[in-house]
Amino acid sequence: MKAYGKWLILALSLVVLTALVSACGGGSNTGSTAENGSGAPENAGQKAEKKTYKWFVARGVDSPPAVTVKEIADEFSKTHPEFELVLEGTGDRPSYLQKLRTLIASNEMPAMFDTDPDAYASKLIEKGKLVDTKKLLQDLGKYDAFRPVALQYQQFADGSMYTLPIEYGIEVFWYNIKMFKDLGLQPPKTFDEFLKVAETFKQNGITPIAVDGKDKWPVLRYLAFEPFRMTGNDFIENVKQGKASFKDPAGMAGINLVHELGTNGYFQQGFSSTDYTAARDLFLAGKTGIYYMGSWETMNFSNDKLSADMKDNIGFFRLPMMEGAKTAENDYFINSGIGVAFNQETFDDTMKEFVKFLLEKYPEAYTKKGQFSPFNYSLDQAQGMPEVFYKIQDEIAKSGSVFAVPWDTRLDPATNELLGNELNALALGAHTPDDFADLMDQAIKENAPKYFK
Amino acid sequence: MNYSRYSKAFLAVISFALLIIQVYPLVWVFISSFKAPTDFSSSNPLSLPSKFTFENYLSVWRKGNLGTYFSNSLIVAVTTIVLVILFSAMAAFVIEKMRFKWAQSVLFLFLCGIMIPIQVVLIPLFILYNKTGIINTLTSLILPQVGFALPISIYLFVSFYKYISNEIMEAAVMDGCGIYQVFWRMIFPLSRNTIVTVVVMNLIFIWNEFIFANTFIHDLSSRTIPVGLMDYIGQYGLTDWGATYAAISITTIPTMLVYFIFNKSVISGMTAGATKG
Repeated sequence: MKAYGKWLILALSLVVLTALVSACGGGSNTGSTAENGSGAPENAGQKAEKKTYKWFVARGVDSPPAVTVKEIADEFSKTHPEFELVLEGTGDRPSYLQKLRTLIASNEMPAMFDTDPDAYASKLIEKGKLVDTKKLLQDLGKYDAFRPVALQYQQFADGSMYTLPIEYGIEVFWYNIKMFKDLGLQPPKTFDEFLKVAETFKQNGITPIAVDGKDKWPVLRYLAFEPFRMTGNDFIENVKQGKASFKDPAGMAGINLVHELGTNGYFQQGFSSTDYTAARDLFLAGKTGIYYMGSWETMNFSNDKLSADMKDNIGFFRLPMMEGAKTAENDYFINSGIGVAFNQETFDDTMKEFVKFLLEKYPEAYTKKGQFSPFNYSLDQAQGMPEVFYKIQDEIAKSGSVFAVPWDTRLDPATNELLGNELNALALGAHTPDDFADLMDQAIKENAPKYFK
Repeated sequence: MNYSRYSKAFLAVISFALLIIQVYPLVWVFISSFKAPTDFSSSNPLSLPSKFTFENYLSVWRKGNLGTYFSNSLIVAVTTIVLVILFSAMAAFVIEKMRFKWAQSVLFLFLCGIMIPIQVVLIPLFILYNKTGIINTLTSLILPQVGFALPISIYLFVSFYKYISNEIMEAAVMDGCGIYQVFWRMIFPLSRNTIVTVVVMNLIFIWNEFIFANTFIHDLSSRTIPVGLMDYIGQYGLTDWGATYAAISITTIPTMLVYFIFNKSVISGMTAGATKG
């Protein structure tokens, strides 16, 4: 009898517990949207109430775009006391993504957040959670104020756009002018010349190229260069779903280039564990001749950031050409950074007004920080920016309309992860080019169908 | 005779090598925290700084938040540790000494907690904390940390209590001790070494805990050190190494102090429960 009682109590408490838990679960949807109303549209009577809008930033709250937006938001708050923008974020992408996904899964999507036009974003769009920024920009009459490439970069394959670009960058090969002169070299125009330059450097005991192998994407760029010259973005768009093979000429050309650069010792020793800062510093210290990086680094290559030896000593050249290239000399990697998405639920009139205000003020404020904006906006010589800034500004004006897309935004996540890891192994000579191509084809065959449904 | 002298010398060499391997990275971090930015770009990473500069420490200080992060970490760590000790010592006492029918099952249930990965509970906890309104407070860090520290701590206490003979307790009861007095006056003071072990073991986890802190905290003012250290990582993976090393140097000191002070007790605490007396 006594044992019976115990079981009864146990069973009863289980029932009560389950009821409690399910009650919590069921309530969570309605409950948190109500709480989340900090930024939700509200009645006119409550307008004076202060609303806090959160921007979850992937770039770090101290990065130039974030600082600029915050300054403009504070200015906007002066005339709209009900509006307040709060920034939160980190420059560390994996922890950013993990937290973003937790927030969204818990019904706590921030009013603004940074995202690429990737598969995760398209799932949010399917559920109607994001603001159509293409329509928004057209409504505000600002669509034409942007550089066309900046907007294209933010678009999904079907041309729809749900993120707002606030950065703009072209990618070039920066080089050490004095080193080139000393060895009697010219900036290379073709990949053959590029390899010859690298070989000459090596013969003279200088490391040719500094590369950040730890973050993987810089090495991945090298893999993408020749395929882009040969096919534009066709190769990556086809190969990602297995319609093309890495064994195709374009794929093999890219693989061979990375293999050659790596195994010939054209990258610095220990490149696979060199991080972003260290790779850049190698180049800035005059230890390597070439460093491939985007125009966002321009101000770090201006004279007042350089040591006496490096003053007026940094130039840049474009992505080399090759015979039978399908893309023009002024086509290369261009991007407008990770875009800003807006939460449909919290996008009210105040927010819309703020975006309008932001678009008015942003180009000038951002460019004056020595950055390049996605707007058709340039600074004139009178502004006294460093010389290298104006040179890049000119180059941006001359750049073409076809731009290479980063492979890591196209492949499925599992293949992308594998590619990142194995690419360094390829450059270190642990894979032959053929083995590497097989490995990637296999990975795509396994992972892509699950992802691109 | 010779043999033992050689083997002693051999041992000395090995332990010296181990010492270098263990200690050098720490020393390197300390040295690097005094380097100027140009030292990082222009010279070998292993070289000494060209001149000692306190600039990094000043810039960490000026950035200003490190003090807040530090005190937050301290509050979380101390509160968590106190709660863990209290709960696990009492729970283990009941399981091991009170001998009720389900004792072993209860212990098993607690130990099951070891198998639960932190990532799995993130979203449920987030929703729960959000609804109860403790999100973004230090409480939201303390609660899960206590939960995750309990299983292993209870296990340590249980294996130590096995080693305390029941006769002592019986004697105490004969002398008129109640159950609470037995625990507070005898068992708890006796388990000093185990307490120290639990403190040191958990302190390092708690001090370095990142996932909860990154997920549950939005405000700069409630961040803990591991999340705060990410302030030094910028866009595109850019890192301010000098400041990072300075910040790391400042923040490793407490864990090292605890280790230096309690080092001996930890080892005896670990082995105390190993053999039944």
